[in-house]
Amino acid sequence: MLAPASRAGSEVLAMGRRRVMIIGLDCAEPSLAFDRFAGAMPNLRRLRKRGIWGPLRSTIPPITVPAWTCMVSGSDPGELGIYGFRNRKGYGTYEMDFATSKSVRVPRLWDILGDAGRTSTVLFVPQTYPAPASLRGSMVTCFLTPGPESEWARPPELKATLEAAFGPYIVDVPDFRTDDKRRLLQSIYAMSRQHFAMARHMLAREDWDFFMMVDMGTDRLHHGFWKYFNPDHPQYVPGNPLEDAGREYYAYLDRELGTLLEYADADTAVLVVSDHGARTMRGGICVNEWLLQHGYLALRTVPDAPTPFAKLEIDWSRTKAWGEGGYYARVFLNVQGRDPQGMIPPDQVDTECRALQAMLEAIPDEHGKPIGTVAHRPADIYPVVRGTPPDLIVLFGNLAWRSVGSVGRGRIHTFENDTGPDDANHAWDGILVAAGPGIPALGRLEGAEVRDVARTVLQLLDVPAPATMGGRSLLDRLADIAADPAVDGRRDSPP
Amino acid sequence: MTGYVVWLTGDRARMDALAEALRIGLAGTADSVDVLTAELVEDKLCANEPRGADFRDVVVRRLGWIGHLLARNGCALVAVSASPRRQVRDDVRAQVGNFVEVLVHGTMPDGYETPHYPEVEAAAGESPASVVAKVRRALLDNGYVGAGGSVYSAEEEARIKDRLEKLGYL
Repeated sequence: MLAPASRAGSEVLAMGRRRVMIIGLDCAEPSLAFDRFAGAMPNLRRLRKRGIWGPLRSTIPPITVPAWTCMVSGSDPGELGIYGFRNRKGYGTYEMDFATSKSVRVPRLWDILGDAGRTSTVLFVPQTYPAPASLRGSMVTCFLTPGPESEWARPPELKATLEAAFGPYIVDVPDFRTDDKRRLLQSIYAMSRQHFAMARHMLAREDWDFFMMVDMGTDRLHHGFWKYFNPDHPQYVPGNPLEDAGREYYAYLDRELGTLLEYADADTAVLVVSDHGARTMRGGICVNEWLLQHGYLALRTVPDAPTPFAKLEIDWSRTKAWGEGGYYARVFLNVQGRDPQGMIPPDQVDTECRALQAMLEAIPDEHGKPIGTVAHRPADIYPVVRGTPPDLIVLFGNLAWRSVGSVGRGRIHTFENDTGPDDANHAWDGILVAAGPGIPALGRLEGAEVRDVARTVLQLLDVPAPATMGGRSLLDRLADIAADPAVDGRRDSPP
Repeated sequence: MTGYVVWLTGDRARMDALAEALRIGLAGTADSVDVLTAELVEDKLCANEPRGADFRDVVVRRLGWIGHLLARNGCALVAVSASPRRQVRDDVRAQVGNFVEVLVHGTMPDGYETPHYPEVEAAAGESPASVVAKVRRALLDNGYVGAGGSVYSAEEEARIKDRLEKLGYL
């Protein structure tokens, strides 16, 4: 068993080799971690003073899958061919398939490091189920693991070891959509406590060059409790009994962070990151309801109650476009010769797509006011477009509104999502804090992107990045800033 | 009927027994099920090839090409080859399409490159019957002998969908 780095006698310490530890906090929001709740996060503040910190720009779309995979591969969603949790199986079918670990066709950090003879410990990182047999090191798979009975550990015998120490694996928060907020909060803590305890267990016993874990509790807290602790939410009530839930959870996270940092010796670079941030959700735009009302979607029977898209009786022969719900919308055109029952002639696709793009961007709020929606065509935002991309990626109200896929409300705007209340949507910027050997104490850094993390880790570990890897190492960016502070970034220290 | 290739890679010494069990156990899942070894390909199809650094790769690729032809015509091939190079195996996988890679644990050849996601792993000491059962499941799950194709079973997929819907991701 290896001792925490702050204690004496570690074999790893004696070797003095460079290591990298990434602590991921899914959805951690910069305005909370760096401002409102900074006072409750002394460990994070100390780390910020020792290195760099600032916003970490997410991917388009800013969502857990594919953002974390972009972070650990340096790819963008277009290169991955992964545009969300579910993707079209192909243009030959309207069916969707889940994006799992096997969907990732580019090497991730642990693949590259393994080929270079380095060992990784990877815990709860989204899109790691099933775990690769080729992994050099150890892994506990993510919340896309079906359940505690699944094969969620690599090597396989690790599962029994962790179960014996920590009980059945809590894959995610059960029964997330509930009005019993106290129970939900307890469930979030129970999951996070188990995951951090497993992380300490692994840090103490594994001989790693690269350690990475992702806590999903922050995301679950934001979606379930945002309105209780954010005064800009329309349903915020001052003095409500859960007003401190956010601050207390961030303070809890900081205590967990402190215990992990004990395993980071002087040769360990530490990154605390999130894949995207969070913001108040104003409501939902029922994208398929809108498509139905505007003649793009044809149904054999129009339901009179909210009905999931998968259960609708779609008349594909008269359908020009359809959409997926979620924190953003993916809209597909139904094209002759491409889709099974395509309707739009190929020579009219561009015209139809541009017209639909303009109409979606013009959808106002419930009072008729503009909301600033942006609809992207994948080829306009990704240099390479792989897989079966949507024809439009729609971000309603710059993420103040979510996409609702069900049909049957009879109106475009809703203030509940398909499965119940949701307080928050994702925001463009996550957090970045980095400190340790090789990282100068330059304070606040602007302009870092999720895709920059993979190259940064490889440079810290002195492992060559594949020529095809995207992003830019933050160390190169920092070298530019050190030479000329006006280049990109400011030297502010945390208050 | 759909054809496919079951590709044994890893510990060559264990493969003959596994291949014979697969030939028998998979009967009826394709128009025919045959076994072909890299040694036979080397002897019959590569006898005049120069023994250069990439000779082993040439043999593996020709074995894969035969599998591709058979699978395309509704037959199944159990391919027996240590095939240590991952890229070459992946090239064959891409060519064949309906491809089930079986990682045979044991004594690996020098420089062996472990596959990232073999459909099946034959653990050291695992019985051929157990491996046959796993291969049949993989063929079913991937839709090569029936419906399916996800890493999830139907029940697991329903659970994941329900979870992601409740979390708001879908």
